[in-house]
Amino acid sequence: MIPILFAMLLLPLAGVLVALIARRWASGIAVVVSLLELIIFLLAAWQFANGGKIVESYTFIPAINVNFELILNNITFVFTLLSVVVFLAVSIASRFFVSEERTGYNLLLMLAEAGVLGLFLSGNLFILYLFWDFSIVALFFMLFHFGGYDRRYASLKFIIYSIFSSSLLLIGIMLIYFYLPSHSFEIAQLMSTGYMIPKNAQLLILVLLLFAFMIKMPVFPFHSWAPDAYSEAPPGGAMLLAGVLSKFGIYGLIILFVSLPLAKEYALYIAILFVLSSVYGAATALGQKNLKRMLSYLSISEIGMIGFAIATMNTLGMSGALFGSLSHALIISLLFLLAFVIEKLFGTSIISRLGALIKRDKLVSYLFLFGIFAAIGLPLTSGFVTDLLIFLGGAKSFGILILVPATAIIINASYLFWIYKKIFLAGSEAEMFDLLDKNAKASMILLVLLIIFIGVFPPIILNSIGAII
Amino acid sequence: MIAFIVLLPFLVALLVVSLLKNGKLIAYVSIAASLIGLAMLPFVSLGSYSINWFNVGGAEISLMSSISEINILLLILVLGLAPFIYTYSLGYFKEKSSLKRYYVEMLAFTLAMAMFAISGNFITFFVAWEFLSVTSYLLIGFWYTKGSASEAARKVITIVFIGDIALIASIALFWNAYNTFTFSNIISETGKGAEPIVATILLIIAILTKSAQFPFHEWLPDAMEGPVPVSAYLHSATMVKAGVFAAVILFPIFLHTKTLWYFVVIGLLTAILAVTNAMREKHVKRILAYSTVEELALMLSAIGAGAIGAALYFFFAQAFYKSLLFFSSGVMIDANESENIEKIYGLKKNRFVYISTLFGVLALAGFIPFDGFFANIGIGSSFANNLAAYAIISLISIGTSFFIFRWLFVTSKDTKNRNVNIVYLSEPKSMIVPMLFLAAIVILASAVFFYFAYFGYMLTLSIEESIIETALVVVGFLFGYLVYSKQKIKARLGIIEKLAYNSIFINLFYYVFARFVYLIGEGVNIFDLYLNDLFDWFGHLINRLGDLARGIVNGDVSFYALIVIIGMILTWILVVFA
Repeated sequence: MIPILFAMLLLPLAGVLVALIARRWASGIAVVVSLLELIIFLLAAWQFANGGKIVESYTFIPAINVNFELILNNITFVFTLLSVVVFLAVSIASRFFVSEERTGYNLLLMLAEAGVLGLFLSGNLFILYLFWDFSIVALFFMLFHFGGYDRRYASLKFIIYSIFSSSLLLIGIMLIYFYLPSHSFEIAQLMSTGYMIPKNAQLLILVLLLFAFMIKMPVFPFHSWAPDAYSEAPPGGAMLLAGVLSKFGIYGLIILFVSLPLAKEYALYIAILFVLSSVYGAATALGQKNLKRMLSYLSISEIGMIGFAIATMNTLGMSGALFGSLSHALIISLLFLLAFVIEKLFGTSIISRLGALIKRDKLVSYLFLFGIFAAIGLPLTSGFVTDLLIFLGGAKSFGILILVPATAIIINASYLFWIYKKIFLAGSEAEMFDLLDKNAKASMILLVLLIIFIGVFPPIILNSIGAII
Repeated sequence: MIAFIVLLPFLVALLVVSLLKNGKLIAYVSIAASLIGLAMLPFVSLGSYSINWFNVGGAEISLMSSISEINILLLILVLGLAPFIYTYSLGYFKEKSSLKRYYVEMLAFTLAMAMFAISGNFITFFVAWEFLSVTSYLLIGFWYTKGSASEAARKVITIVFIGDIALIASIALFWNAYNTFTFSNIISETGKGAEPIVATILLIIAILTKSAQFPFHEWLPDAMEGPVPVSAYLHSATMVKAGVFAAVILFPIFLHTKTLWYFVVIGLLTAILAVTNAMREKHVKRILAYSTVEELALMLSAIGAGAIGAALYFFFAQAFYKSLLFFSSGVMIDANESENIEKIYGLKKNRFVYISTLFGVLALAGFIPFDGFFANIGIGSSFANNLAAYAIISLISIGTSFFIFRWLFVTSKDTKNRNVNIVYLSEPKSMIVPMLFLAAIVILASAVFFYFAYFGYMLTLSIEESIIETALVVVGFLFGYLVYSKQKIKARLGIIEKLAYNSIFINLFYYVFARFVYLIGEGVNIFDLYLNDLFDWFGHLINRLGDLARGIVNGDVSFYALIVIIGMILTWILVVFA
């Protein structure tokens, strides 16, 4: 049997080697690698749909019982899918955005892809931790070297927060290792025997990991790194940070909630924390002057809702969280892509300096409107399924607490429609510095089609997720 | 037969139209589709049908059609008006380049509205409901380059979206209470135990936003920034009635939660606010919009009083005369290039337009034998037991008659401007013919009053009510005639007149509310900046501590020796005392 998941992991690394030799074609290689990843993933998904979860295991460090284990199961399926898709969109879009030092950029992109896929596919907390840091380092260099004007400040902030988060994660993982009766790093073991961890140890693990994941998601009050990092990152970097890296925390949170019974006891408080974060994100976005920062807070707001869905601890909410992760990855990537396109085309992303873009570029305007509608949950886009599942799950577990995320959605909609009018419809025409090329268009259309596709046919994703609890 | 099939012509037309380029051809395809849709209407049969969409954790999300007499009533309005609207639009849009975008959006709207009309569960209902908001947004902002249009579209979607989210939250709470999305199941479950009151209130909020009721009602006059056929179709005849329709089909929920009186109180209040506004308004379409707000308010208050039959007949009759009046306002605006009734002249010039408009006005005012008369009788009699409410309804009747005759008299004054008269006489047939048809329907629809039992409700007419109604309408007419046609009375009411135009206050309230929310956003944003500084400061603190620690490593050997000695002493103390 072909080690299909291992191949997914090796492919970007092979791409790095090839790109080092054929430097001129680096960006093309990155696209090909991402495309091949998608194809391999679809093969794996087909295998998964027919034969259940795929497990590949190699001996790694026998002394501490660590195997190099890769798993494609109902949870990792969603996260792998969203990473593969966002990486494809990023690698295509980067051909439009990155004109200098393409080799370096694409090397980092492929390294990050290997790291992210390794993280989501790993069946083992030890490996997960290795890839967690690996991808953060790759993203840090991308941000540090290719970012915007304030990139040094933003990237430093990003790396400090990330290291803090991953140290907490490391301590948490070690505690899990020591307190699990089987002394194992395996996620499957954690999920099935997590309840055997003594209660005070559970509390300690819960607190440590919750902090680690809340920083990474990010959730109020640990979100300060995100708006800086998202808006100073290069276009691809921002899409990856908001679309994919934010899912590290969500993925971890899902594992945490499924494994530790203690989490259920504190679920209400954790849920309140997340819904407050979603309203906080929405309210802060209201006061932003810069489109990219506004989208960062929109992302924080929506991540808060996904966290709320996880805290419901019922199948509806969990499915909502997983489906929502995919949906959020696609939608926020699309919106960030559009924001960076606007910045490149019109030289600024400050809202007050933009105006009447619809007269200049119809495609961007239509797609942005589509992005807004998807973000606020228009039926037949993935946003609707997410909202519906989050509300249903929330109503089941917490009753009228769902009014808080509902308020957040209303606030989000209010400023999104306001900026749409301000940037695209009203005002005097902005000066145009550049033209959209086919790479950027292809990337945007890819995301739009996927948002519609999974919005119209949600069973494709939901059936793969199945019941988690 | 599967009810979803009525959606098919519009779906196909949408696909076909998106491939075409020629504006006129697109219009013809759309008109043909609407005619086919209308032709399908007789084949729609009672019953329900459902298609599974997806299942998650015990929740079955499916699209379901359920046809009862009430659904057919709304379907008649949606499919029956579509051909008139589509035909009128062809003449109305002078520049043919934007026809494609217009018809695509209009077909999408009709599709959503027809889907709404046949929805049998909350999922279908919500999907259609949300698409109504979206298509309404797109059509109000149709001339998006005009600042006022894009601002109006933004305002409308912002207000209506509150209702959309309230609706989905309410659906989730109802599901949690009854474990079903299907209307018939929910209705049979109500009244058996604890009622989900929060869900009901959210549902009421959704209804009030969609059907433009206090305090959300000011979006409807703003929606008049859209093209005339859009106002005629979406914002008077069909879309705004979605809320009323919801109140009818979910009536038992409100009955059992004892929330019906909300509709009566809010309805009467909204009607008063709308009528007083309509008396002072000068914009030709906004007057009609306020009149729509008033009519929707009366429908809701009749539902609140339990008179569903009366509300439904009003629901049915109002669509035709209101569309007709909007059509005629389109002609006026086209001829005079102004939307201010004081600057509109010469309605009498084109006899066809004038007579059909007159029919519409008489129907709206409630003259016998037009359908508006019977509609008003129904509403009046539903409050026959409550004297205070009946008095308010009577005053509203006089006011309605007054403002609509003002509308007619002011716009039909003569002019010597030849251009205006020429435009009136050269209006295309595609605009005039639908008006004549609608004028005929306005009379013929009166007969439906006596056959309303077909829709499940028996309506009756008494002589006393007819006399009272006619008297009220005539009083309103006389006022209008004396003040605006003969100009016998020059009423100057000063401050009362200014207060009557309450739209200013409501909009001020919106503005203050929006400012308030924005200020909260600004406040949170400032807090966020400080939070950011706090974390940065924490980083600096650690940096400083590092600086302090670095001071110890200063290369001075005697200093190191001192530290060693201090350390030894401390160790000794620890060992001895611990």
